[in-house]
Order: sequence, then structure tokens, then C-alpha cells
Amino acid sequence: MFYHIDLEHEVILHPQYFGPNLMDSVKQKLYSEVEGTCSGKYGFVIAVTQVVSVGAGFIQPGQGFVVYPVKYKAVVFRPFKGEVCDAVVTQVNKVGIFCEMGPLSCFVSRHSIPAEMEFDPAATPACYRSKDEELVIQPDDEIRVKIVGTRVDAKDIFAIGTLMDDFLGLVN
Amino acid sequence: MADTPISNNAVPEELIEDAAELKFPKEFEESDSCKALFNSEVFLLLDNRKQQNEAAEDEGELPQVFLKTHSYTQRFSRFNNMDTIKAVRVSLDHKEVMAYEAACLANLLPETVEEVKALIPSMERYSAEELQDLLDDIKTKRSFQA
Repeated sequence: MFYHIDLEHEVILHPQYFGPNLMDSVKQKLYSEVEGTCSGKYGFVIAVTQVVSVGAGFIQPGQGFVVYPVKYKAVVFRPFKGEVCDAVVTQVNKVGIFCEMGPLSCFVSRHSIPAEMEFDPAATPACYRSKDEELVIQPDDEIRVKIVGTRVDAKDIFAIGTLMDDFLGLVN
Repeated sequence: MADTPISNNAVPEELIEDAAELKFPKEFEESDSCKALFNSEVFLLLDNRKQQNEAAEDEGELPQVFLKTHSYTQRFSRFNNMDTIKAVRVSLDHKEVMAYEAACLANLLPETVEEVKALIPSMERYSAEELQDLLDDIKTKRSFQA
């Protein structure tokens, strides 16, 4: 789910930027430091939409660097367990389906795909096909996935999804 | 050993998240400082930013996360203008639908009441007629958008 949320960040600025464009430098540094980052708590920070306030800078004793506490608003993407979300299939193989929901990669295990869908390695591209051959899931298809869990590491989040529920699977 | 119950005590209550029961971490609870967005709103915001970036002279590279999200929201955007989005929000607010549920409804566009209840279990608190009204309303607004 995408959210518009208030966040805070400390910008550390070198004295060389102290001049008429000081505030622009602070904002530029904020954009480049937070956009595209990811944390387990807030998810992916996609874009800063507004700088709410730049607090009073604090000069680091003995260094000359200044620390500015900045409050800003940003668009973030945070996956939740139990959430249903549309995704684009990126890769299909015998262990399951890999898909993407914007910045988030998601894996749907073979065991979470309905049993009537079978892996067909002979097809180009490889796909999951239902026995009556009516449903085909292949790369670039849109599927509706329920998120059952997430794994967070230092710079990324991975989701595990399932298609085993009503109204999940291929989106027409 | 067989009758030792599996203990849930390792995870504190506030860390359990489950969208199906509207249990979110405190940072993402509905408030003035946190609002769930429709895919369409995200797309309009990002597209605006992308155009600004292209127009700027010293055009910086946008991060990969931004570009991926831009193309994802473009693909799954259900409404194409701010007026329709606002109208949908107003009618959902009227029924006291939570922001998270509103965004799910607007992104997934379920067609039947059963589908709503399966995809967004917290909406079972509404009666079938209320949900059908909501769905019809969204559908009408979508068919009238420019």
C-alpha cells in the first residue's frame, strides 16, 4: 500500500555550502539521501513531496559540519501481511512465480499456486498452465497476490505471496 | 512435548501486523500525518515530478525505485483525474470507510460483494446492500471520468 507520510531526517552539511543557497543545498541533500531508500519500519521511500520545515542547524564542535533536522512529507510503499495487491509477473520457473509490485519483489512458491496450475517448461516463455489450458500465467502478466509475509534486510524488503484464495490469480 | 502449546509471547502485541484485521504498526495508523493513497494518486504525483525533472536544466537521474513505481502505478492506475479521485474519496468517507480500505477498493476494483469480503476481510462489517451501493457508486464515477 502507498502512503503519504510525515518523516524526519538529519542532513549533515559541509561548510562549503554555507552561502545564499544554503536552504537549497539542504533540500537537495535531503532528496538525494532519502529517495530510493528502504527500511523495515517505513518501507520504500519513493519521492519527497514537500519539505515541511528545516530546523535550526547544530554546528558540530571541532568539525564545522552542521546538522539540520528536517521534517518532510514523502510517498512511501509499505507492504503488510494480509494485504491483497496486484503485481506484474517477472519470472516463472519450477519453484514458483516471481513478481513485482512497484519497488517490491514478491515470490509465490509452487506450493502457494493452486494445484490445477502446472508448470510448463516446454512453452516459450515458460508458464503455469491450468489443466484445461484456459489459464496461462507467464512473464508480464498481471496477477492478484495476497502477501503472507515479508523479509527485511539492510537495504531491501522481499515479500512472500500466495494465490491460494478466492479471487486471487490472473487479472483479466 | 506434544502438548506444549506454541507460544506467541515472543512477539509483542504491537508488532503483530495483519492488514486483514486492520492491525498496522503505529507509524501507519490512520492520522493526519499518514494517509493511504490510491495508485492513481501516486501516479499523478510521480508523473508531475518526472515532468519537472525532465524540464530542469541539470536533470538528475531519478532513482530506480522511483522509475519502477512510476511504471507500476501507471499500469494499475484506475482513475485518470484528480476530480474523480476526490469524488470517490468523498463518497467513501461518507460511509466511514478507513483510508486503507478505501485505497484497496480503489486499486483492486472488486466487482461483487463476495469479492470485496474475500479481498478486504475487514469490510465484512458492512451489509451486502451497503457494499453493493459503494461498488455501484465507484463504477458510475469511473464510467463518467474524462
